[in-house]
Amino acid sequence: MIQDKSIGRRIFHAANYTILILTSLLCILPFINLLAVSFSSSAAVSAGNVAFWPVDFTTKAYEFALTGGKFFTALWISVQRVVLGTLINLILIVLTAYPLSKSNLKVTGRNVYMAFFIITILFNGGLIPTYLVVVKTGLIDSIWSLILPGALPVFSMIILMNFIRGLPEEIEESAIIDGAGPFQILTRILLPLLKPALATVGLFSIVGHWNSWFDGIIYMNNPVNYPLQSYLQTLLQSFEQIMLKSGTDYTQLLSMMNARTGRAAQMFLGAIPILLVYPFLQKYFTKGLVLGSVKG
Amino acid sequence: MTKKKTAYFLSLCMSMVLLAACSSNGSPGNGANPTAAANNNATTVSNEVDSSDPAFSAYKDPVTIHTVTSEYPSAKYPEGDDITNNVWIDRYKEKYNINVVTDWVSDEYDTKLNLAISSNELPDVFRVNASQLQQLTEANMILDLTDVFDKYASDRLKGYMEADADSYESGKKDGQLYGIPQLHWGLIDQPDFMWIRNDWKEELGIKDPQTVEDLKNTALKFMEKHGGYGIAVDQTLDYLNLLAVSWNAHPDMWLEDGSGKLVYGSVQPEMKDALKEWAEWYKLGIIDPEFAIKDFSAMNADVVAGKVGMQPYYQWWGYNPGVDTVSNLGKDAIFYPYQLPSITGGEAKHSVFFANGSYIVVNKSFKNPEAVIKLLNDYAYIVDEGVGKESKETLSSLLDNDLAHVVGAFRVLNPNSDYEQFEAVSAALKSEDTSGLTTAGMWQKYNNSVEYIKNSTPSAVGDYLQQGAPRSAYSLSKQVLDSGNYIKTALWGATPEVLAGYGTTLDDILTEGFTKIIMGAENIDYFDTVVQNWKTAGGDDATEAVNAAFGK
Repeated sequence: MIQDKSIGRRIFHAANYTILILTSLLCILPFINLLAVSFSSSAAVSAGNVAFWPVDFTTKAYEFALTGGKFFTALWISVQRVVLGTLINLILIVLTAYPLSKSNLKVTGRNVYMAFFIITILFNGGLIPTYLVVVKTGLIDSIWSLILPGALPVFSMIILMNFIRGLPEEIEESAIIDGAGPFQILTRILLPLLKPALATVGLFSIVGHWNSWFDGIIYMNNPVNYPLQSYLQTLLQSFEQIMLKSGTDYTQLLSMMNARTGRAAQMFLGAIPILLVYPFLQKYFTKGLVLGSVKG
Repeated sequence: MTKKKTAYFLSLCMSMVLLAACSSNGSPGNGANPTAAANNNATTVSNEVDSSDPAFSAYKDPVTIHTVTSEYPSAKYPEGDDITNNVWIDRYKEKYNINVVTDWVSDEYDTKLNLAISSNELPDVFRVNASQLQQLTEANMILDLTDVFDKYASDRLKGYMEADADSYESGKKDGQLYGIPQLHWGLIDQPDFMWIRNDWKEELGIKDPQTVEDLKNTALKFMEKHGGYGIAVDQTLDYLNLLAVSWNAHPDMWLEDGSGKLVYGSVQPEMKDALKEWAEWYKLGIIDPEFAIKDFSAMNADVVAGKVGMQPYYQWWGYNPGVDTVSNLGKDAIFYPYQLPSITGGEAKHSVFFANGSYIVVNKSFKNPEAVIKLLNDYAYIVDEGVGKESKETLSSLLDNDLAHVVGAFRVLNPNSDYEQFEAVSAALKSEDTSGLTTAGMWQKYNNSVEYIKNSTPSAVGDYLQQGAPRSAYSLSKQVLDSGNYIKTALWGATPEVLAGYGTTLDDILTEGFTKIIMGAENIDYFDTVVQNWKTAGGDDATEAVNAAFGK
């Protein structure tokens, strides 16, 4: 490609970079502000003096969030949930997406199954019926209540299905000629080809499991069993309560932190694991999405 | 064609979903009730150890109560204890032979309880809010406690109910008691004040404000000397509205209009007078010119940063933003509360809102409702009479470290407790004789007040300004209560469904319209238009519902 050095081109590039840099700043600055707030003293934050660098550096907010070991218990539950949940999600996604990627002629009743799945995107049972099902099936108060109700993410399944359809059919045909059955085709031929798409839907599952907090709160009968996000959520709420009915032990803490610094610290703690995972999966992320969407 | 097909299909799906939901909700509910009624009176009679003292007698055979509760985060338990297993649970067992079993603990108590109600998995005893009480009563899922309460409640517990008879009434339906109100710390925490920065006030030699004109002039003098604006308020108008009582207006409150009909305070002509004056203040720069874009923390940021010296606020100013203000600007920058003056002379009549947060209810199928009353008696006894009768260690293990609050449904608060606490604390500070301090709460307020007086420790300023200071919030509130200078809301109980159904829409209409008037975008006659909009948007509906539920 020949470099175009015309003035118009240069202006375009300059504008392009400026806009992109501004957009990235727009994304990252709130996060830096959050970090600065979480390390600042209560008074400085309340007075609105904190921008992008901590004022009166303190780690009190983090100490508050991490004391009592509850944070780590909750973290461990979250990790279990993410690993187990994502694994089950991926297995079910692959097992459903592959047959459904075939036409109605090859798989009898394919369209009925498809409608069956699509309905769950359009409608859901609502909070109370779902809760009743979880109670009556005996899942309540166990980690399975967080995993099984959403064991098959239909949207991810459709992405993967479209991805499979985008693969040349000849690959599969040649495998059939070599004597491979459907299961062998899936494990030997398709799975290696599906890696980018699996990374994409896997990331969806990881983020989804990591961030959801409400199911933890309603399905668990004791806060000891809360996953991390549910725990952080209740910590935020109880914080206000502590502020108003401050016991003697908290007066010391009060002078160094308040609800906003505490909240900032917790948001940051909650975001760290996702920040760590993201860079490694990101390269698949856009690729998988775009590839899946080419063939409708 | 295909469109039509899809439509049929979808509607079929919808109806199936609805049917499924109905049947699953309906059947277990019907099944449970008849057995409940049958079990009701049979046992209990001979199970008392000392039947001459039903209020405090233990059981011969153990009685088990299933309950549910929410975490109390600031409680500090001894090693190994938690909310389901602590000194109180041990005491119930040892003293009364009552086993309390906690089915679940949740911080989203209301959500979780609503789910439990709809799946018909109710515990024996639990606490509910006013609208849940209404639902359960109408669905006939909870016990009528009238007779049990009469027979078993101690005189002290009955005394609490007399002290706040309105809340007691709110737990009844057709004269029968279904929910025992858990009551509150006292109405003393309700009056609001104008908080004024003390060093600025003294520096300019300003006298305590006696009239609305004085408030205005104080603000103008502050602005002359320190620049900026005069009074900190926020976009919700919640804080500005605290001043409305000066014009005899009671925004957000339902009150009688004189002819026996209940009306909404925010849409009365008195409110128009207040808004007219506020628009004037805004023009003069007294009200923060940017208030319409400031939320709670942005409003307080200006106070903490020392940009403004007056703020209409609740009694807890000292906790937030007080702590931050004093640690940021030094102890001289402390704000003190002042009574709101009335334009008709004297002090303004304060608004008092519905104060009872929750009710104790008993599942229809529970056989020993009197066990609950015993535990309630016991709590009241420990808190109010424990000093002198029980050992210091016992009391401290039950009440200190916020363990007094971990009992969930098994307590009714003394509605005079904050009032009595304030009297004891202020007397002790005056006489330096601490013998009158009988509860952990009193000691905390006293110690922190002393700490602030001696060392000006910022974190202690909250308790100091609430109770310990010579000019404290509660000393002013006490005058209000003692002189009866307040109006209680007529809506003393659950918000009628019609009104609750509008959510914040109705109030949003008013807030938006009032903001326009204050900022001068519309003149004061726009008030009538706003009120008209409010009425047609549902205000009339809501008024009717409130009158139907609470009118006389």
